[in-house]
Amino acid sequence: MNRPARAAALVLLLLACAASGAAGETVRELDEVWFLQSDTPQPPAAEAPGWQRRRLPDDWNHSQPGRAGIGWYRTELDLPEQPRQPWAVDVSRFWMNAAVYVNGIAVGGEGSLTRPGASSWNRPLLFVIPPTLLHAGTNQMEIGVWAYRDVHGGLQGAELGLEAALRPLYERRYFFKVTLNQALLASTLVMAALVGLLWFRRRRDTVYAWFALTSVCWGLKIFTFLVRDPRIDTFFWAWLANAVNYWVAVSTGIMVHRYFGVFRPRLERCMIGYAAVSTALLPLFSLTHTHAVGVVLELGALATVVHVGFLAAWRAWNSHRSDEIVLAGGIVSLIGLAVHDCLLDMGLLAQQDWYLMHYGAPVLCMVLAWLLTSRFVQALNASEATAAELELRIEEKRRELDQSYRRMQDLQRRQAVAEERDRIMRDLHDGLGGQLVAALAMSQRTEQPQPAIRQTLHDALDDLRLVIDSLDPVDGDLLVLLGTARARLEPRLAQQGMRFEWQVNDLPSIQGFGPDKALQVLRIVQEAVANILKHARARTVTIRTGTEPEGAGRPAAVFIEVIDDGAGMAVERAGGRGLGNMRERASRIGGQLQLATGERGTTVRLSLPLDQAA
Amino acid sequence: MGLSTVLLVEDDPATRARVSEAIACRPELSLLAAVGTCAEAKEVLDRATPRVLVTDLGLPDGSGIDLIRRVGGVPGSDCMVITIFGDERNVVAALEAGATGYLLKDDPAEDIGAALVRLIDGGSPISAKIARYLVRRFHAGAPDAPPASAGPVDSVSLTERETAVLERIAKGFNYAEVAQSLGMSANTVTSHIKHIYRKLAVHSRSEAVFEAAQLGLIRLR
Repeated sequence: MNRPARAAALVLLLLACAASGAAGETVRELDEVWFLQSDTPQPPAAEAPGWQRRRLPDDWNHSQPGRAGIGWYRTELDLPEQPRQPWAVDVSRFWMNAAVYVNGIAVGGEGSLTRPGASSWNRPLLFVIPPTLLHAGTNQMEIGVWAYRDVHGGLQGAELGLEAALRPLYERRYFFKVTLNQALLASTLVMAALVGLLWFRRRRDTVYAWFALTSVCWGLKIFTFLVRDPRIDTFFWAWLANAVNYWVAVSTGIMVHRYFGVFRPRLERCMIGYAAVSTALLPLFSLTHTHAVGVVLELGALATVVHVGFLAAWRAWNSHRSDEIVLAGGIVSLIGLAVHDCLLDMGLLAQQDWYLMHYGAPVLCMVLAWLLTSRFVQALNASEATAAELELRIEEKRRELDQSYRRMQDLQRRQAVAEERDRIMRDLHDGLGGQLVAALAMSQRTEQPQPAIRQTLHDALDDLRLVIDSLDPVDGDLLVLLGTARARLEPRLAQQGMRFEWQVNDLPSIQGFGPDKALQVLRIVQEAVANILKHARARTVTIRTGTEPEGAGRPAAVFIEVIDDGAGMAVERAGGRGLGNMRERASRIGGQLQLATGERGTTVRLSLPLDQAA
Repeated sequence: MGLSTVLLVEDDPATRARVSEAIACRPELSLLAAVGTCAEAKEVLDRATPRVLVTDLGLPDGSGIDLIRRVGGVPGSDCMVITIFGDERNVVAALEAGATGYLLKDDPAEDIGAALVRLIDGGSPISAKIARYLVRRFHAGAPDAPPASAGPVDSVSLTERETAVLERIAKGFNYAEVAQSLGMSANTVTSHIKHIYRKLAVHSRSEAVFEAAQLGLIRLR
């Protein structure tokens, strides 16, 4: 943060050195001269009436207020002999155009004394006097200047001496007044472009836009110091050169507001209004600095800058943030420079000829650009850090989720195991348990014949097998299940001289058909066949399977029919306990049981919807 | 043709007695020995190889699977496993080891004798579930089966006829119905099944070898 501040200090130091550049002994500084307001583009003769003594620096605002046009300064140079080396005259500051004559011969000039428009007042000038122009004895030298009405006129000072002695001083001045300014102008505009581009891609950060605008205004301001010949109407040029001050101040103010995150729309509207109104008013009165209206308008700019100076200082004082301190220091210094330039303009600093604000402003712009980029980089770093942090948190959440998923899975598995255990317990209790108890009871009653016990035990074992069959995965393959049931039932049918008629059609496998459902289907079929064995007096038991397409209000289903060719059932028996059992089992697995009985046999039909999940 | 010798390995004395009795009832069969442990069975096998090994799987000192592996590989010998439930897991394990039939413990004595004789005559029992398992096992339909072309497995794939038999049995049809629908005799059906069992054993062995070779446990030349 401190580097820009140090750079600024260095520049100011160099300026100080340049300003106090010592002249050699061979250099003569003009102080007492003759002056004649003549309005002729040629120097009037020394004998002409009206020459008066003037001391330099001479500011027409003081020495002859209200005068404009051409004025001539004359001095005499006594030489013992014709010099062998060229002499030169360094016109350090004048308003606005100048011409230099030696012994009646023009040696140089800046702008024209007849055509107004040039604006060379802030440019050091060195005019070389060839040795042949000089002679032993008294030589005459005239410096003519041309000025606008009510704008500065006059001559700040001039130095006469050997060119070799004057040139280094001139070049140093030229560097600081012209070359350095050009470089500052270029860098200010480049910064404005870069930051403006940044704003173009990030419209939300208006501080960048205001920075770019401020930089452009400053650039314009510096431009007015540099231009030798604006090539536009003098009036407009003066208007532009003065009006830009208001805009510089206002745009700097709003930018500083944005930098500190201050939003005062009404105040800012007032500022912009002030700049607009001032710009419009200025040409209605006068374009002079000294005119009362002009001064009042300038005061608005000063007030704006002082306001943001206080704001920045107050913020920096409270926050102790290095960037805010640097910014506040920069603004306050700039105000100092501005006051200095104002005083200079008013001719209150007669011994000075350096305008300073346009050096300070680009430095402040650079400092600001540096602060803004640091801020941008900090934001970028912070967002990167946030992204990394976010990633970390997501990873953590993912792990947590993973863990809870695993816990849930574990829980589900345990629950499934528990349910399965319950189911097996129930099945064993309902079937096997009851049968074993019955067998035990039979074995205790000695009159009970052995075959009955054996049959009961067989039934128990069969039931156990049924349960175990149902435990094997069948993947919803009903035909395998029926095949299993057939293998067990066929011998018992055969004992009674019956046989199976196997009329199965391929069935689609049923989704979600687990062991519990398999067991219910097996039990239903077994019960239906057991009923036939007990009551039907049939010869053939037909097992038929097929699919039912989706019908009115009914999902697609598969059906299993157990058909006998026996005597049929009485209606009261049809609703009896065995059937009720089967119905209940069917509904437990989401199926439906239908019974059709007649003289030519009975059909038990079990329908199971294909999508068991529904 | 002489009597077919049977070695019975069953640790439950009552069942052992019942099955022994069933064997004794059949004039074609002669009981080589009836023992209750693996060790005793191995002792007998060191001296002689039975025509048929009838063994329980869960023995006090080991698994009947080891005995089946030993006898199943001998040409002219058959193995039969005694199970209580005829459930897929136990029966398939025995078939893979080389058994070609199974008995249910509570089958009537006459059925046990008949089943033994049928086995010797070349017939094997099967259930719908086991048939379905076999179809899946031999065809690429089984998700855990290695690809058919990926090794020696290929040499023991099922013929179309064998597949047709298994598919029908898996749908619950009995031997007679399968035979009729395929235009063959019931005996041919059962001998097909026995053949399939043998293939399963070879299949399992070659699979094991193949896997071992893949794992680098053994080197195939």
